[in-house]
Amino acid sequence: MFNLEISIAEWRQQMLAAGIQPAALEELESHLREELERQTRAGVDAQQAFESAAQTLGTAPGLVVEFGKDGILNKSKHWILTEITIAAITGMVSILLLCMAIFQWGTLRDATTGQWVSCLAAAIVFVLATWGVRFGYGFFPVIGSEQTRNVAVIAFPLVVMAWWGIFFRIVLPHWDLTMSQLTTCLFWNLFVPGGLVAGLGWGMAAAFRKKNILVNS
Amino acid sequence: MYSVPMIRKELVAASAEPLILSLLSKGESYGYAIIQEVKQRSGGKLQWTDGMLYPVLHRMERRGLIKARWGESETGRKRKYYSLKKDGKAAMAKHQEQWSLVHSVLAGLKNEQYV
Repeated sequence: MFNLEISIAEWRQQMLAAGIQPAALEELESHLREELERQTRAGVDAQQAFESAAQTLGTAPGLVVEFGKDGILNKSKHWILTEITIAAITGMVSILLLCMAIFQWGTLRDATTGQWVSCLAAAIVFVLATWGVRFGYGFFPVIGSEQTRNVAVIAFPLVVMAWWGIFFRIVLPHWDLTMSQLTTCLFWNLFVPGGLVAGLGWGMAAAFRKKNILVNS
Repeated sequence: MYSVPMIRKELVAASAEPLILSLLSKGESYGYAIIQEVKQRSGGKLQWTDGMLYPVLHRMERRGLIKARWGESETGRKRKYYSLKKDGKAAMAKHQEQWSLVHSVLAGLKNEQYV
């Protein structure tokens, strides 16, 4: 005896096993049921209606090929993960810096008003550099050449790391700083350049991606 | 009576995006209805393998041409509705311009054959 719901469940299993994503499957199933409804209204019996509806929808391997045709699918997941990671890290650092500056946490407890204002300004610059660039990437130039992009991706962090090296090894040992002075120095020399580079890379990647998606395919 | 043969699959594939954009410019719609309308308007000559529409819709959504939302049919079944975005309207205008050009060249050549 034919059971429509069991047949649909089996059809779903086949699609999932072939690699169709659950979200896409929901939509395909909705389509299948629309077609079933139309056919049964026209007097076709349930089994025949199911078989022909499943057939016109396409085989699982055929659909997987069609869904997989566009490489953006995987890249897009990869990109979302990258964005979440960058957002999480810069977000946490932003909150930490802002809280430290605003509530004068830890080493900033004995800070003078000047140091306090300076740290707050540095924290705000960090937030603007990382997040402002991400959302203002529309104004960014899109670097078409992959080689130039790779050079930029490697060069920017290298420059910052070189600066950190110089700062910690050469500049800092010559200064005799109080804890709050040291913290203010770190805010400006460690976090602000890091934030600028992170924001710049993030913005450039977003600009490139946006242009690529609109122009291609 | 002269009858138009079924349209070749390359042409079906190439026309999918302009047709979807033009249909959605009349208002939001969902996969099944889009297929039915294309079938009906072409007198059944333009036939998509039903499932192939969805990867095309998803690609267009990712490119920012259309947007999707889950809603419900009159009978309470889940349905994914698509509607046109601003970039989609621009893309539609571009498609229509190009197809009109191809059409006018073809029509011009056809007329010359009978002179």
